[in-house]
Amino acid sequence: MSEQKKFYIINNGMKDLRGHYFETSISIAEAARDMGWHPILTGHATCELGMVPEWLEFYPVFRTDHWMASKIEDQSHIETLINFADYHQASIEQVKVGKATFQQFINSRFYIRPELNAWNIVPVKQTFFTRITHRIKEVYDNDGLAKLLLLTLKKIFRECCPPLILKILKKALSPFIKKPELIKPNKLNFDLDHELHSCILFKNDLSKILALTKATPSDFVFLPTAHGRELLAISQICEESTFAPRFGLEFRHALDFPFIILPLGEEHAYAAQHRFYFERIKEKGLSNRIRLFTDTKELAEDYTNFSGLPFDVLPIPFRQDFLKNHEVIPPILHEKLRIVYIGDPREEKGFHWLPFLIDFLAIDYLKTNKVVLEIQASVHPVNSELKCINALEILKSYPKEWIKFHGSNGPLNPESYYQLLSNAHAIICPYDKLTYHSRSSGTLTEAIAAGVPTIVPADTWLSNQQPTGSGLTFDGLQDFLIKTKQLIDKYPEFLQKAKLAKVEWQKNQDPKDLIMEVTKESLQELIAR
Amino acid sequence: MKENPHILYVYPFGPFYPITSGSDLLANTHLEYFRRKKAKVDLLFYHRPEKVNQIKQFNEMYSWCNSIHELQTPWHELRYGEFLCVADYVTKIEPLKSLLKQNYDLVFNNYCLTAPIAFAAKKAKIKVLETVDHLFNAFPISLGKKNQPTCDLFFYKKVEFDLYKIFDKILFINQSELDDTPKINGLSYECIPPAWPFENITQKKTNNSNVDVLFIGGGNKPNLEGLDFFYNEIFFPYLRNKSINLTVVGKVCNSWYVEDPMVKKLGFYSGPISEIYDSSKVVIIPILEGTGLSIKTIEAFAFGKAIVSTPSGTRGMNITGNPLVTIDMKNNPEAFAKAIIDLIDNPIKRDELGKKALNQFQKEHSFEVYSYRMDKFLELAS
Repeated sequence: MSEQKKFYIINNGMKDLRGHYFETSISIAEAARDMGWHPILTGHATCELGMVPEWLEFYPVFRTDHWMASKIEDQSHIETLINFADYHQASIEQVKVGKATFQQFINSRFYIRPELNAWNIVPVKQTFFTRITHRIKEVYDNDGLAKLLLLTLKKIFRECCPPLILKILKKALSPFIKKPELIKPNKLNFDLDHELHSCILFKNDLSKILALTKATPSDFVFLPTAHGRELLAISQICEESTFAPRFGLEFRHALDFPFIILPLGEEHAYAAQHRFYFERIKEKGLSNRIRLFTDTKELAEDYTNFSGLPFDVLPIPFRQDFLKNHEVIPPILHEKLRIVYIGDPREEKGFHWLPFLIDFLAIDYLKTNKVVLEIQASVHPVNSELKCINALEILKSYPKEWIKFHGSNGPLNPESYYQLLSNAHAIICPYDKLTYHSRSSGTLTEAIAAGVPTIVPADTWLSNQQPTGSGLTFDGLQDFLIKTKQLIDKYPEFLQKAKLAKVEWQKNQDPKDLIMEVTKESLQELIAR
Repeated sequence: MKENPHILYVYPFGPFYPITSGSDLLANTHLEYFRRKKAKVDLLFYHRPEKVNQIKQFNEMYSWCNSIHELQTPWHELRYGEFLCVADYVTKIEPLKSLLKQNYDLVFNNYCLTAPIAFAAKKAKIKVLETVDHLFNAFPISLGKKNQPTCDLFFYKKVEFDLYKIFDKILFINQSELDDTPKINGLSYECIPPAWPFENITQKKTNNSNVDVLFIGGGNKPNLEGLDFFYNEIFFPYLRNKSINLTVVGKVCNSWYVEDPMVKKLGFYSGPISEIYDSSKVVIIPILEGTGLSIKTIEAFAFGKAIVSTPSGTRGMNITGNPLVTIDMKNNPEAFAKAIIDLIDNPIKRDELGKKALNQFQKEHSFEVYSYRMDKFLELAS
């Protein structure tokens, strides 16, 4: 019987088993399993075990994450170092039949500390002959045959040949000598060394997991939140190994950051990094084993225009099992209407607007016990944005019966998250219009799937997705406040439309569609086969 | 195999006499077995600097060997891959290079970390690996590297099982570790628990014992953590107020912080260990985790002692005859304490349990049983 094909979910940014990374990973893994794949989940090396379902293989292995905001942690205890291509070539079976040395077996598996060089751990003994042949190969590889010829002649005739003849020879051969590639001294607004180091680390870690789990060309590797550095690392793996699996990389973050004011003409580091990586990819061409995706049509256009590379669109996965049979029950008798803010409390998500909303609704809705605001308040006292920290302090000063806080001690676990979501009568997304003009929102995806009315920014991906009549759009803070009031006043109408839209949406955002789409062989791949 | 076989014996953490750890005892058992077989043994070991004082005694003990070779390396500081790297490197330099050219009847390796040496002994007829324990388990437990990423441990496992393929026969001391090992066609596998390699083991009457509770252990993490738990959760709340005393022997004393007049810390004991056992009433094995086999349990069996142990102390053993009291110390500390008090107060019960322990030893861990099993496995003439 042939071995089950593996579906890898590479989530190197996943540092704990909760939140968006975890939820989407599980939904994808479930779908992959149900479709006959063997799912394998990976996370950051600091991610603890536990909470991962027993049926799911899980390896916390990566030393790099998406944002790489902090310095790479010193993890010298990680001594394994595997090159995917070398790993199988230096198997113990190959060692036994003399096709590989024991040293190669060790070197393809472990990182040996440099200080142990005292042990002279060099597999090949350096002789005069090996030195010469190595030098010849080096010149030939880097500078071409003409340069090799010139150097050889120079060496031979140095003693007996007049300098003039050498000069003539040099001139005659010069058109054939490879010109050294000029690297534009562009001023980069990010740390290139740090980036490239991270890229190598990612490549090593991915190589390790692919080698250990015996990845084959029929397996598939999916990165639900990819970065350019991962694309470069994966391209190198595909280049080096003929038996690499296929890869799908989904880019979910927008390349512009309207909240960050930069000097005129200067690009944000995130965009600059991606420009750098996409340029490197274009130099050799995108491997036919790699496909690129985003999760919205708008974002795909942005990325295609930015990079000149092809990007397709994938559905947005969510834990369907939590929401499938959910039914929103409108408030009965004296029950309050629950307006929910869910997701990371961030400025781009308008968390700092919530005190304004409270003030606006206070007299007519909150004091009269018509409405309660439920908030995911996972604000970190130090790491969160200052505006959000301040907003939370203000929110805490209001009467307790007006606001209910969730997740104050850290991110919500899956059960609490979906409980908060499914208890919502309405979900507000006071997101920044520019930031979200092409970005997707997992919260909106889940809200529509649960049949909950919503409020979203106008002219964004969110407003394009919001089913007609199931909620309202806003433009600016004042409009957000007014629209929230309108939604409360005419709640039953919105709820009815939201319920109708829910079934169709669930069908369109099925994680199984994601698996189908991402693993579909492109025309190029079919031709290559 | 022919009589007086020519054997290369490799041990990575030497010298292994006097015995300071379970793996030292195992190595002594192997060598004693080969001595009785009149084998011509070339002994190769890596010298741990902290054991420098033992070398004289060691050389005297093993003067019967054909040759003894010690390699000075920073072996003890190395990590998994580096262990292998150095082991591979030393096969390419003298004196090992010449040694490995010989036509050995048997190359016997302790720990798969020495696998490159077996691999380099191309002319050896049979290559045997004594696993001692699964290193991928031992790394996080014995070496306290519990935070090692799962992937690395999974990786060690892959490497370890790959290294087994270099050998013809694989030995285990723990049945469950043998059961957990994927079997490769053409290789023989067997579980043979170690024996006490020395003579003069008899059960002594313990009427004049002045030690109520005895624990003997090396300085590794499971011993330390287990002893700590025992003292805080069992000895202090339940035993101390009954004027029961505790004696701790072995290197575990070096890193154990407790200072208590009811606790005697003897440290490493260079005299005959039988003296310690003879003077004690109850032996405890208070470890919460471990790999391989608990040698201290076997040792206590050998001296016919009444033993109260955790399940970890009897891991991988065939103890159907109930030769000791086994209680989950972590979940039921009071029951563990009660069992000790019961045995201290009841000399007849203690002697009966001791007899069972000795019987267990004779049945499972006596040198005769060990020799018989090894003969069969190695196909050496008995």
